[in-house]
Amino acid sequence: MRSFGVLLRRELGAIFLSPMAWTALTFFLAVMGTSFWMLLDLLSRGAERTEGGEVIGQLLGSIFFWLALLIVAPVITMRTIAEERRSGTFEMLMTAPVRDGTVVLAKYTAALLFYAVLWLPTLIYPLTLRLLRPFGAPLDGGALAAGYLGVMLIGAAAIAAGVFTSSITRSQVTAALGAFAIICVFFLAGFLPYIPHGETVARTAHYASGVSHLLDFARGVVDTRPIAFYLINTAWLLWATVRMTEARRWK
Amino acid sequence: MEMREMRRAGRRRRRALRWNAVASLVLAAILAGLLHYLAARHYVRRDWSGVGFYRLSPKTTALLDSLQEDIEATILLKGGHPDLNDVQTLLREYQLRTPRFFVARVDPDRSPARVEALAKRFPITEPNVVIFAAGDRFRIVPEREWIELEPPDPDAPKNQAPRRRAFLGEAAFTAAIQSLTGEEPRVVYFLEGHGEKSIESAEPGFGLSQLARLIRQDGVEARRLPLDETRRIPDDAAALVIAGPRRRLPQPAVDMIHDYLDHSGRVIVMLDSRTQTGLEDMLSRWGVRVGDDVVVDPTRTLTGQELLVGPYPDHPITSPLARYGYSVFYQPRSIEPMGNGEAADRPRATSLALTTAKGWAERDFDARPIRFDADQDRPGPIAFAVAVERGAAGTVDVRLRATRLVVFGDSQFVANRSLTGANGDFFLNALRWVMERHEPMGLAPKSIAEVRLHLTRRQMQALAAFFIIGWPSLFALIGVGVRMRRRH
Amino acid sequence: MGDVTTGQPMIRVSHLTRRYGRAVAVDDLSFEIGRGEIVGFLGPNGAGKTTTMRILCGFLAATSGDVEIAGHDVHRDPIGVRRHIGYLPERCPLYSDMRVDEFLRFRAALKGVPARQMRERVEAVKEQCGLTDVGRRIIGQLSKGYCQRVGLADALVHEPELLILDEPTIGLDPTQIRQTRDLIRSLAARHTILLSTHILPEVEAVCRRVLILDRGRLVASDSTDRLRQLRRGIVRVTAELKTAPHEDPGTAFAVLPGVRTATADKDGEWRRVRLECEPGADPRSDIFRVAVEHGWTLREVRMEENRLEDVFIALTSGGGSSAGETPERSDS
Repeated sequence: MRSFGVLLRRELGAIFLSPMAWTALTFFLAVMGTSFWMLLDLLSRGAERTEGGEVIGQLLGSIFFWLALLIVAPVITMRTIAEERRSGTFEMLMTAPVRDGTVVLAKYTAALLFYAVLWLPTLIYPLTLRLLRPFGAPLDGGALAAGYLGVMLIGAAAIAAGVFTSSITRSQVTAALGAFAIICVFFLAGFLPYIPHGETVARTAHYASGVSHLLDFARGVVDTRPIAFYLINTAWLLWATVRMTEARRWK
Repeated sequence: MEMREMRRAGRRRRRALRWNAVASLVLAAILAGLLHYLAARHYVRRDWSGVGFYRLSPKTTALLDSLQEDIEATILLKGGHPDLNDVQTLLREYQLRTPRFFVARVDPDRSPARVEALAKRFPITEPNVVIFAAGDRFRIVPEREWIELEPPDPDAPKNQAPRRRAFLGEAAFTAAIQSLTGEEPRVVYFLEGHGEKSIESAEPGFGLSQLARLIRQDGVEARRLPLDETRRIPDDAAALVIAGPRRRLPQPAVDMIHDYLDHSGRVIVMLDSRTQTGLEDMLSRWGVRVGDDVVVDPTRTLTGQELLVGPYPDHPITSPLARYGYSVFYQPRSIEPMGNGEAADRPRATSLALTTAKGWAERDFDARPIRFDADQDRPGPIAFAVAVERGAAGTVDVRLRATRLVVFGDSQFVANRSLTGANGDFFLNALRWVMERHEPMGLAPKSIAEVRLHLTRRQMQALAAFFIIGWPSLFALIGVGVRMRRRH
Repeated sequence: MGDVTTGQPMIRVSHLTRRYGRAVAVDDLSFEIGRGEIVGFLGPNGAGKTTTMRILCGFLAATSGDVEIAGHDVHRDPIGVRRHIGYLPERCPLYSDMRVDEFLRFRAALKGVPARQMRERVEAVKEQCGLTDVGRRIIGQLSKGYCQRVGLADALVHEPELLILDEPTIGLDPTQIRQTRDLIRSLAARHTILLSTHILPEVEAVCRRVLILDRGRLVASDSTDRLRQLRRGIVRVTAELKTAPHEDPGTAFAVLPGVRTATADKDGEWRRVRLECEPGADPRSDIFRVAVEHGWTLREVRMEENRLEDVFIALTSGGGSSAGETPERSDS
């Protein structure tokens, strides 16, 4: 466990010292800020009828979130393993007395923590909304908490996908593109429940639809099904990542 | 020798390990799939929000959990419909509750073929509906049953949609699902042969074809019943409707109706003024007084011909009508409860439509101008529709069902040309009530709040500058600072 | 430590084979290295040195065969094995975004150096590797030589019993090479060292034993001295001198003790005489004496001593015949 802490500190340091991370944070805040401003614009025109939860849906569950996730998650994760393999530092790392699983888990946790840090500055949005004292339904605290929970769960799985693609290639670009593709497919598949289907397909599609999950979370609905969906996928992807790093020994 | 042995063992071990890696990947995939399968079936769903706009009430969840057969709901709404999101999200909550319920949506603009197929299967009469179907039974819930709009604002621009005030989706949909459960007969017979209005006729003043469509849309079959001495009321009748006979009914027919009522029958009678049908005496035995008069109320009429009804008395039939607005009756006769019995087996009659205190029952049909004569006219409020229920206790009826009867003092209000306002729903609710298929769930409507910010143009510009440029730049600057410190 | 004969060997490799697809990188390799030995791993590029070292550290898995480090099986107990190893990978990859101190502390913690010894250990290896002045520098901005030292410091920081150094002097300038060799030599007292190289002087300068690898096979394993004598070839001596045109210096030299043949260039002012001598013979003083006796002007006498390079070339290029002369001593 000590080596996990040591590795985590090093990974966090590496992330926060890289210009990529700060660029990603700036980009992310610009996108989410645009999303928030558009929400303010909508509310100021008053045309939209909205209840507490729906405001949060617009805030966290809009297309802007997906746009940001599609860019940010691959950027955070692409360097994790691929870069070490390319530069050869992976050899130095993996000949220290640490398990592959510890290394993967530390890298994943660091990326996830950075993802959480991305969201911290967005807490200013609900705060602003409260300060502006809108007429009508106030912000719903429960829905807000659930919305952030959903955002973190989806991010957790997306980052696991990114770490996974980073483990199967030496090229950061390939890793990023792979993660982008996985998240993209997942995002687009999120629209399947909104297209007519047979019952089985529709139910499965709904179980796996990130778009509807996030909207559900953002209106305060916490369901064990999406939670399990993301946790299982995260665990599976991380496990596969460990296997991939182990398999490198045989290659 | 020993060396070779060891070497072979080593090789075998490596190969086994490599196989293990492949096998364990496959196993993990299977395990993940299995976990997904289990997770999709065993779940808890909680609503953390304070509003709980789509939170299902215990009544709905109890009903959904007790479903014995599959129910399929089809949302027939266009893309930009203001209610689409609410309806879809709410019905998805239903679907997520039970594997017995499944909801699909059809966009009429995108898939006209599917609409056509639906129209072949169901008697759809209006564009924005949700169809609930279980086997061959169905219920079509029209838009007006799930949404309450604000009264139109005369100052508002012409083409502005009225603001939505409350969403009643859960009440409407749960009631619809409720009405699909059970195996009661779903045929309502319309008596014919005595000048009654016909469900086959599209004639504006005497035809009921529009009403028949409404009934069919509600999932109930409407059939004609030419009743004479040789014929009885069929066993599969869920209700009998007598829609404004112009001639007197023969006594055997009247007896038969009475007998039917006595054995837990369900009857709706509509009697127009200035007619004698022979049903008046029979109805008095059920606690309903049928007056030979015309009900007028100068405060509730525009031309003197029609009589606007509303507000309504409190009754399961009438309480949902408030949000549809007025219903319009045409020179109805007075239909009043005769004083309710105390015992459970006595019929209990309740007024469904009343004039104000300024109205009265006019006995002189030809008097012009119509005015209140204290010596022969009765002062208001005068009732002209009554619901009667007699409990099943103490009767020989083995099915232990209540008798239900609704009497209207007018049949004109459901004729094709008059089916406006809340008229159709008034009748439909009465029919549902007598058939016991639309018990109000007591589900409160969800009011639709409006969030509005008061921001000037300048303020909006300042907010844009801060949130799109300022706030992100702050973190960019921190990043630059970190890099600078790190350079050496 | 230092005693080769007692206890279990530091490294025991038996029948190690490693394939990349169909290509065989290491082919049925067996050897042992005792505690305290300094062993050179010699071979041309692509001989399988790096692959073998990576297998020893558990970075790669063997296709078959067994590897034990200090009694731990590399496959079954990779973590235990790595605790005993300080590994300097080829080309010395480091986290270029870290400061030297940061990096060494990170590596020390990762390798399980207790927190209270951390400072002491890091300072000690910095001292050892000459890094005291660059502790605050960012690794990416250091020169190649310093990077190598940081890598070496990293390998040393947890006081491993075994050091595995893959081409530790590659890419360094001559001064740096000498410094690195001195450093390695100074480490010899306290560590078992396995270092790979394709440069002969390195092995000659540092190692007491050599393992020679060619195309994945072990072609020789012996002490550096013995290998030097292994190829009992002929000592060549070249002399350049000025004689009268009719004189033949060849015949004069051919009779000297230990000289087998001597041939001289036919003409030219300065004539070159090539002598082939018995092993161990050194006819240089005799040549000088004979030249003085004949009144020849001797400009140069050069003896080409038999060096490891010759052994190396003979063993790796000649194929079977030379290798046959060298029994694999460690494989008992």
